[in-house]
Amino acid sequence: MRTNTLHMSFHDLKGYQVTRDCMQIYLEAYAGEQASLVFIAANEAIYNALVHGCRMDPAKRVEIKLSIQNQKRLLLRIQDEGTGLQRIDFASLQKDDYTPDDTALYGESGRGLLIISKVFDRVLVGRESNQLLLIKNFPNG
Amino acid sequence: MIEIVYDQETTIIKICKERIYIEESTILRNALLGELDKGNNKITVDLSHVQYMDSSCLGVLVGVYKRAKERGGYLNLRAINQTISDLLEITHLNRVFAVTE
Repeated sequence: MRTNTLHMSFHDLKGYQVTRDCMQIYLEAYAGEQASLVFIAANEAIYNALVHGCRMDPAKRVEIKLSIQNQKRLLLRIQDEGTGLQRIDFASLQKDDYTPDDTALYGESGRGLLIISKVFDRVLVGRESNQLLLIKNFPNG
Repeated sequence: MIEIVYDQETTIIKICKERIYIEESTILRNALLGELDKGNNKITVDLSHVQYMDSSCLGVLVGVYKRAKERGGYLNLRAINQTISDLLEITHLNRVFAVTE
């Protein structure tokens, strides 16, 4: 089975916007009914790489490789030239017993990683920690 | 990008863009805070045109919701699609925002 792959890299906000739009077109073409949420989560991940990984330094590059294998397994690999991710606290991302007045619900930032961890089936951080591998399985692919 | 309609009971902020990201979040924040500054603290955000939204825009909505509440008002959402509904559930914000048809 041949796999169509989207392979791009960018250094700045303009490059991020172009990459984001290409990911959207790719996912709408290949990811079926999962496309919208996967796109939203993928967008959070590449924006994080630019802002938190590369700290918007135009000398640094974010590289992405997006593919769907056999119509059932989506892989998104994101590599940046930053100093690497902080440890991801997966346990706190699983917390679900919020009451409507829980102050934790009212933060104005910090939802990107939550969206990524809920939409993708696996979130793997590379050995050098500036590489992220996101996997989504399509059960009826 | 934003249309504002003053209804008798609520200020309707209609976002006339399919996809709203970090670049739009400042425009959205300024429009919403501008209404609070005018004393309009009962706000309905109409998302009927919005297909996708990122976490920065969710953050803006939460921030303005808090300020509106502090002033005795509210910020409700209107006409959200399935994707936005899923996004609210994932981020637990379905426990914060009232959503109307």
